[in-house]
Amino acid sequence: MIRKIQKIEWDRYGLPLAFVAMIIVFTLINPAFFSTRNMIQTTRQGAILFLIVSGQTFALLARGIDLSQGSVMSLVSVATISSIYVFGAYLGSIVGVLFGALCGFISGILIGYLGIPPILTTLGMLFVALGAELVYTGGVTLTNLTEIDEVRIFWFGGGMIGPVPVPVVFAVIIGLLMYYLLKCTSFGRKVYFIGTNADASHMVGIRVKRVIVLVYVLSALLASLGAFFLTARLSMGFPHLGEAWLVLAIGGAVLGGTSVFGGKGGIWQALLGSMVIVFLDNGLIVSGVSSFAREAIIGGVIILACLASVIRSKS
Amino acid sequence: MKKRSLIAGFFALVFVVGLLMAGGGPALAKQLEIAVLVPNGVDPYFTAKRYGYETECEKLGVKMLFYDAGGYANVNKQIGQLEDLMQRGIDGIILGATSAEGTVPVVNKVISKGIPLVIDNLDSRTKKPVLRIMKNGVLVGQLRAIYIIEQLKGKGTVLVLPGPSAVSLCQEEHKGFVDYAKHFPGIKVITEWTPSSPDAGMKTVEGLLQAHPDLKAVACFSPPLTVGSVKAVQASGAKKGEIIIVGQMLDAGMEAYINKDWLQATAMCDHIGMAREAVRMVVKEIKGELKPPLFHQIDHYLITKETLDKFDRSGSTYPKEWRK
Repeated sequence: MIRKIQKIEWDRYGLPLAFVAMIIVFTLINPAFFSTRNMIQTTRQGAILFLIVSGQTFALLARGIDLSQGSVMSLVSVATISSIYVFGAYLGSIVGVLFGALCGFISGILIGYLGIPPILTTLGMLFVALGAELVYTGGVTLTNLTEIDEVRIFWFGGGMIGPVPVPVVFAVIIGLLMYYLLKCTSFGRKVYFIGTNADASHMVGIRVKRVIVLVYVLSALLASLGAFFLTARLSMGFPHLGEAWLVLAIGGAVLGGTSVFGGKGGIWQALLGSMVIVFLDNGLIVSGVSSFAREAIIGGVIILACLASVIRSKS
Repeated sequence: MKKRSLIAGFFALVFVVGLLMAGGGPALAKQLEIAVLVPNGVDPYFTAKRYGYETECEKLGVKMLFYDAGGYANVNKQIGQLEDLMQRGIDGIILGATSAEGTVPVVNKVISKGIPLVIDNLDSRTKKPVLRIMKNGVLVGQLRAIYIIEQLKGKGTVLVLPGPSAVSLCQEEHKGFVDYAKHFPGIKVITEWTPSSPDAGMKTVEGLLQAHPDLKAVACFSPPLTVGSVKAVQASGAKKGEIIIVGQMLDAGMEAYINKDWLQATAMCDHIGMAREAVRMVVKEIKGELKPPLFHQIDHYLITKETLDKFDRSGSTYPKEWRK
């Protein structure tokens, strides 16, 4: 029996097993945790985090980091609502999300072509995006959509397709696309290769600069999509919408098993990490744990995940 | 000849400038410059107050500098802003503190430097004499409790969502609510301190509705939390009014929720009027017409669908054209 336990690849199955154990424990504490309604609303929250974590995963895989995700989310939130005022719900939403992708494109150019370190570039972009949206809105929360636009946009964040929340459907489709992109295309292989050894990538003829630009566009685009679904659900442009999400994005990616040192991880890990964070948070709320203790517990779990990532990289 | 003309011209210029300076001509009189510091500028409460500060400064011919700490957690940022303002030699400061305790040392420094200061609503608990214009947090908390308990006829589970925990006003509002509710044994109060953002409010209420399916009311201490709570209740499948929600302040979105019966009431005060009064107070202190300590407390009231179109909005709402 002990030998069987020792034979389990804990690196691969540890987190999924912990996730299942966590679900069982929270259900035992309060059966309402496993109710259909709670599962639906938690997966809806999880879908949004999964998109953002997936974006961060691309940056981490290429041995980078995207610190601008939170501010880009806030920018997209106000840009989306502002664009809806002008173009209506559908076109306005696309324009809003493109604002976020543009931020990623600029970061990618600065990192890939000008050689500015990702941490500094995306830190700068964090302030540029935040400053831009605050100057534009004057700090005012944007509401007052027309009734038809509100109904249309709310569907994306708060609607259902059968028994499944709309953001979950979109997240599954986007997740599969990203999985395919990383695992089955030359672009994906290049991302892993750059993350493992950027110098060698140059030598074997990979166009590193171009790949880096695309990595940061994807990071910002996925964060923007997360922001869009959140904005849609709230039907308002909130200038500080993304503030709390950056830590969760990095934490979720690392918790899932994506290495902070590049080259290891992927979309499956992003899914696992984001689900663990969202269900842990929800389980603690449903179990009656106070918000102060919740933050400490989630923070502790993220630190443990970082520690595990460091240990894994050394071994 | 040319050289002589140049010298004469130079002295003429010096003479004219000297005359203007000595006479203190109105064109060169120093315009008063005051700074307004708020903890979280994106909160509709502070947006509305900014309108009050701006319009009153314009009216009094005072130049206003506006500083936003960008969130209640950014105590260090606000301390830095206050230190920069001391270096700049600002004429007066209006402060909404990010933290009641954390800002005390820097506020003491401002007062020691003799810079006129008005603490506007969000207290910095300095023991030095200072001008304060304050909401009555305990009363606001009680107002919400009275309304909810009356609606529930003294029986039911109530979720209280106070805003940032380090903010003195939230602590007072929470105390007001809980102390009043203690008189009703049928009322069970659940408190969940929550960051003042709509997504945090939504997530928290969604989770707590699962943990407490018997929840009958939610009391929110900020507009973003109010919006988040309404969204969570809507998603829960509850009918309008089945779960009573009492919010804080009023913006266009919240007004729509009141009209559609998703939000039953909101606690109000004339916060724009309060901002105007804060400007008048600091200007008077600069001019030596008002000396600290002084404690000015404002009134509060509750708005429901029935009173939405009847109350005087001049002290609490700004024109739609502003900031467009």
